[in-house]
Amino acid sequence: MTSPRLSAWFAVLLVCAAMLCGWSAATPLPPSPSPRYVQDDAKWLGAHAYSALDLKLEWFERETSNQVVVGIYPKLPDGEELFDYSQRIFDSWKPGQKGKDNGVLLLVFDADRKIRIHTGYGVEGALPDARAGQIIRNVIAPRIRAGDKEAAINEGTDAIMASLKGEYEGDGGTLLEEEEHPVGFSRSVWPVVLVVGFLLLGLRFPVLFEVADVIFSGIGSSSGRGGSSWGGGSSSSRGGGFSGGGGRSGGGGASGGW
Amino acid sequence: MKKGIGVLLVIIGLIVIIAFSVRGTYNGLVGKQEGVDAAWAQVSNQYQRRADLVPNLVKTVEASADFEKSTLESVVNARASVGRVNIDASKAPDEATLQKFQEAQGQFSSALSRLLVVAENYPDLKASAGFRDLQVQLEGTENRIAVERGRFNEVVREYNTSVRKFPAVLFAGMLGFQTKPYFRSDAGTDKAPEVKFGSGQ
Repeated sequence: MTSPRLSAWFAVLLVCAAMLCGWSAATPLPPSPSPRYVQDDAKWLGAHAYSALDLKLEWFERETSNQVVVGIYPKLPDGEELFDYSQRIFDSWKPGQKGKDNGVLLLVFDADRKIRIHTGYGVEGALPDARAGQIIRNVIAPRIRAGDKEAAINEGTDAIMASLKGEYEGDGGTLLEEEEHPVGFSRSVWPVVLVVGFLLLGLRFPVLFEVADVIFSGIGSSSGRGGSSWGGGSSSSRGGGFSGGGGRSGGGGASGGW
Repeated sequence: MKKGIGVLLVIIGLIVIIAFSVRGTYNGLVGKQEGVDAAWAQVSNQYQRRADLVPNLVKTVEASADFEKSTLESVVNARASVGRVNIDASKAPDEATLQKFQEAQGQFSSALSRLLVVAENYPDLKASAGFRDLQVQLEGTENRIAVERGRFNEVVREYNTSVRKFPAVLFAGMLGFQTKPYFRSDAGTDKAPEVKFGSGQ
């Protein structure tokens, strides 16, 4: 390898890296609040109001499978436009169940005095743009103007939830729980298939049993448990919580301010 | 003689391999083309949704007694000429049709945004709940159009790339897979009408 070629190669790498950095710096997106339903960077909510809201939204997902997620931020990043930014946040957090697309985002940008309700495809019927606009105009904005920010967010989410009720049914769980304890084919059926297959094979070739006996007794003596190794379970102290389910949005909802 | 059979087998093998590769590429292209058509259906849905708002808009604005007739008429006319562009909602259009479609929709867009600007001069109209709802609906529709246009362009780009790729490029044209046109963001018509939000005070 000649050194000019090498340095040219490095130059290309550098340019690529610079482009990547520049690109990601131009589009900073706040991380998903998962496993919470609320991100309060602007400190609008007291500790009590925060956890009450979070619990309320978690309960709502259990009840209806709808995912309503709240983000309260100090300001819109420079050069960002409210709708585009919200759309990109929605695309990145993906609230709502896959296929149902029943997620709603409530975003507030304090310094810009802007509010956005962004709806997934699946809730455009239950929460049409006009209704979202009314919630902003008649419920959220007046309470912010009156100085009661906690009530604004609280009653705003209540109004959103009231609109969504009846559209979908929940199964009592949240997506995060299902991710932690999946009950898919792979987890539930494969071990059974393997064991049955092995037994059938073993009947035909008894030598397999002897091999297995040697292997398992080896494991047993070294681990001291002499048994199965599955059934670990998750150590999360808080079952459930928010995890974006892959919901999509076509840009529905409404924008407003106070 | 034996050698001849060997050569024949190799040739048959090659033909089978080529046939499978063509089949795979063909199926891939069919899938992508369907993706483009589906994205187009979404786009034209949203344009239709915007056109469907016009009767309600006319009703609401006419209720405001002295509203400029000419502004309203230009919206209604633009809406009518949009309807005259014959376009299949289930199949992505060719270059010329898409251009005509975009022109008509662009004129409709600017007529609508002019109406919203004029409405600023009518405080009673602006303050009415009906008009505010309409404003939100119009804005939402423009947003949706922008989103679906972006998604359409994305799947068209994917499709066009695979049409131009080897080996598809060798036979895609023969099998009727032409590259498809994009939405172009032409000045003025691409931007959603500026909708102002009342501060409430």
